[in-house]
Amino acid sequence: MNHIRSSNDPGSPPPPDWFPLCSLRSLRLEYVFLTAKITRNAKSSRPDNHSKLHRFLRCLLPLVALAFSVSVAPAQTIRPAATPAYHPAPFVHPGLLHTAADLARMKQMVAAGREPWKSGFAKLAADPESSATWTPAPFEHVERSLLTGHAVGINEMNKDCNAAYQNALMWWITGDDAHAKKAVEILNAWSGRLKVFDGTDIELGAGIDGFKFANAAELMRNYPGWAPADLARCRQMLLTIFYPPLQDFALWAHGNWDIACMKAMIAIGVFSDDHAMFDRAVDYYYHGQGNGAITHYVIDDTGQVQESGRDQQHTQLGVGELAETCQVAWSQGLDLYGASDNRLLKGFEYVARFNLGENVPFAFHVDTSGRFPADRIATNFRGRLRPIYEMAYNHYAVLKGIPAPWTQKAAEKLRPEGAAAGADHPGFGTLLFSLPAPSPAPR
Amino acid sequence: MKIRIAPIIAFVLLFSGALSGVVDARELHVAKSGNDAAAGTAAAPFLTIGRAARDAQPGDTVVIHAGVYREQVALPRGGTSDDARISFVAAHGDAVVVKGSEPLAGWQRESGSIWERESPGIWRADVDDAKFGGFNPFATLISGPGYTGDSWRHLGEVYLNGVPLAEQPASEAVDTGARRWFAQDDGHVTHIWANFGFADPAQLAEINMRPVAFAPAGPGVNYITIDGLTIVQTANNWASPDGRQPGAISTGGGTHWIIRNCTIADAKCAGISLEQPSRDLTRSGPNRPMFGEFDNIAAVGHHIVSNNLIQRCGQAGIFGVVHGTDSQISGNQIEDINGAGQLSGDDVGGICLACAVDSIIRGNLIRRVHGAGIVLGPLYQGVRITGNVIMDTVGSPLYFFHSHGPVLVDDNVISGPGAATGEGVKLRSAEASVFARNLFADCAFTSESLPPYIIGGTISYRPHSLVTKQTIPAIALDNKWYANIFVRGGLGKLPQHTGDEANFNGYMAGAAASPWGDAYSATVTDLGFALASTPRAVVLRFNPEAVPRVNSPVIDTAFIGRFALTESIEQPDGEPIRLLTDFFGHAIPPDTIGPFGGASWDTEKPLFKLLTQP
Repeated sequence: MNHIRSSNDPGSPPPPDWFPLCSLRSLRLEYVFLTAKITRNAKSSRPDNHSKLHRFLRCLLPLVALAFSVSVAPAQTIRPAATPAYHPAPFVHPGLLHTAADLARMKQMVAAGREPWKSGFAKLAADPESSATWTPAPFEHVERSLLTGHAVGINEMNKDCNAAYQNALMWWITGDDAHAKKAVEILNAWSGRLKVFDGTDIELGAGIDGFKFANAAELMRNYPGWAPADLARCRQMLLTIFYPPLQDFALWAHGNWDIACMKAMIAIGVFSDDHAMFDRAVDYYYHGQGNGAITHYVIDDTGQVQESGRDQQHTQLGVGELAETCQVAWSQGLDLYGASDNRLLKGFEYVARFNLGENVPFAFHVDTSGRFPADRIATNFRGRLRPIYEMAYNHYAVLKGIPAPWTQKAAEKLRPEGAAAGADHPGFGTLLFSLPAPSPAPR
Repeated sequence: MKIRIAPIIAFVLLFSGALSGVVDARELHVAKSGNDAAAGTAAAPFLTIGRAARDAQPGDTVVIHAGVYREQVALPRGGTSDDARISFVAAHGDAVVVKGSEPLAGWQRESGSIWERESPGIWRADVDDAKFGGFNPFATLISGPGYTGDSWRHLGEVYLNGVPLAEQPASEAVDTGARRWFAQDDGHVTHIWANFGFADPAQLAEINMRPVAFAPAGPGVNYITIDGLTIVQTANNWASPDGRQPGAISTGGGTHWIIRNCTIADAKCAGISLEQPSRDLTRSGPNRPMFGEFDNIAAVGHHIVSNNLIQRCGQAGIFGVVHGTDSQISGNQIEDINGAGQLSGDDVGGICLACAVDSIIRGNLIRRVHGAGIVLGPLYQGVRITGNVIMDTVGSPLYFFHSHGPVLVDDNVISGPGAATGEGVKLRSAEASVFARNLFADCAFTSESLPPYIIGGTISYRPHSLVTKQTIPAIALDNKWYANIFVRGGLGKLPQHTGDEANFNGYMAGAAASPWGDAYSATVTDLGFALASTPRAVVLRFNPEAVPRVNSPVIDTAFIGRFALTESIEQPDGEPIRLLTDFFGHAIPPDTIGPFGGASWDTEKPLFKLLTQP
């Protein structure tokens, strides 16, 4: 018997059975009983009519019911399903947040002293986690259980993955070998030590820090001073320690959990040349069951966001990480930014506008899990802008020529963007994502 | 040459003792002819079980010979492993009865004292309070967190020929009907008035004195076996997850007990209690969730409760807090619970488990319960309910609340009190309940989200562990109904919540399919079906030919899918579950639904052979 994977594929309908059945004799003993007469063993939900035509139609009914049956999305149950191949061609490397062209642009602009890259770079260079003398502090067992107030090694991991990534960037931009050595040292320190990563918020830890480590590793992958065995060990760490806890996303949580899983999945997929993993992440962006899929997170064209009723740090976290996912896909030639009619831009505009002090429309909304009904917009942390806007502004407005007025204002307010909280975002968007002038239409 | 036999025999005995694995395993004997100053051997047994319990060491078996033992056995220690248990067993073929009561003689006909008119059936006995020791059940009210019964009821009980009378709130009420009693403690003497009707209390009147028959003296008493005993008439108080859970037998926080082949009857509240004597009641909220301090699954539960006859308990047959985890509850006959209907609430039922992970409830008969059949909540995960018969309950045969699940309910025969009562399968903030291949007759089906009384702190665990994964609130979500037979009450009124599915079900005799699911189910008008009790068994008259043919897939771990939060329904050891056999263990043909798929069917099939009292 084949396993059935969805409620709409039940196998072949049973044969009709028109033999009348005898009634049973009743018992003499004390009962819980039902009526005793049996007339017919019917297969449809309309059992009463005996005409030939009806019998014939009734035979068809299961098939008809099948055709018109409404598929109830099993929104919280996971069954394995194949995803389309979104990128059969080999991946571009480096190809996560930054391609070789992106890195060349930064290097050139900084060398030429042009703004805003010059000020953007000053922010990066001044950050302690960009230092070539950074000392990594790897742990064998990291636990991220901020939910129950328990954390082991997560602060160290956050700082170290930032330091690996920022040192890698510094090397690309300045050419200073000390930074390359440091980035590789940090990656090796963790891949050589880390054995267990768990905790109540493991999806966030593995997602956020896995994304950052993958980006660092991607930037260093062609550095001759990184031994192939060490690179392989780093890949092994990402595949066996970071990927497993996020492979089913987080259907029961607020959207930013799903999105952390998604961005790490797409990044580890590209880094490891794992096309199936990449496809799963891309497919989730478009069609995912949970709150992190683009049309579930930015719920409609008003730009209202699933976590708008929660607080304004999480709304920015969510759209920021969605953009990071899109940026990786963009590096690989896929336009997730444009999905659902630039739905992500609408999210950015809505979040930026509200956090710049303007009013926005809000409608009562229940998320895909049903756990988080939101009846009013949240004002907690309103106005505390995160360094996420340069990435979105430059892509939509500068590159594609699509107006993004509120995103632009938020970017201008922070410019030059500095470090993000923890390891949540790459930060430093002014340096990393500013584009010189509107280019011709992409691809 | 003369061969000396004695040393050879001694050597052989010594050697065989070593081979048995526990060189020091002893048998201690207890008999009514015994003496507590004796050696405790078969030839010179002890008189009391308590005396033997004080001596018993890991590996020892206390063999109890026929008779009535009026004792409260405090267990000072437990065994140390499955091979080194401390066991209390009835001697082969002997009827061993442990009573919480004492006979009470010296009843006087009451004449002209506090009543206005004489009543020939009223008797009075006076018991010196000193006789009760530190515990006077007639002066102790039934009370505890969540107790909603009458405020005047005491733990005391009066029995005539083993049958309890009914306590009255006032002395006048004793007058007005037979088999009633009332007691008053004046500080020195407890006066008990009883109306024995036309009976003479000299037959056998007893009053309960002891709150428990078997319980540990302290924490850490594990690996205890109690086998084949009859335990009756304990004055145990109300059981609650927010307080203590006294039982006629209480495991008192211990683990790895085996309680089997016993008869438990006339316990004031719970019969068998898998007790957790204390927990941190200050824990609440997502950061410090309730029950979060129990995080080591190896250190809890692992009990076996099997083939016990549990009757006439006031609150519950089997009650468990935390220690239902990794326990098996199988083959028990649980009946006449809360018979007088005095109690109500979430802690009243045939089997009540709170904080239970990977429990297996299999092959039990639960009937005649004035309450729910099986109550799970708050907090259960990985529980399996299979092959049970639940019938004649006033409340819902199945009541689950406040959990992320999952629970698999399969191949049960469940007869409810009628869909119109609203009782049947009741889900309240219960997620991931999978109902497969059951027969539900006369049940209503409800599912709702309750305000999170655990203030957003309902634990979901990492599978097969007590390690907290998340503490978000539980809501109505992800409940599945596959390949069941519904008779005269179906899913027609069940609202659809996120993730709910229904398919491959059969609906009979007016039961309605779910309006939102059941893309491929079937309905028939009538069916011959009867569930009946004989003196020997609960039997089913059933014609599998009448059940609609529905091509249901095999219900297994892969088909059910992985729940986002609590992952897969599987065996406690992580192996997948596949429902390939039916209620009787016969292979299921591909186009059958419900609990019976076997090829042959007698006209009368016993679903449960009743356990007989010794």
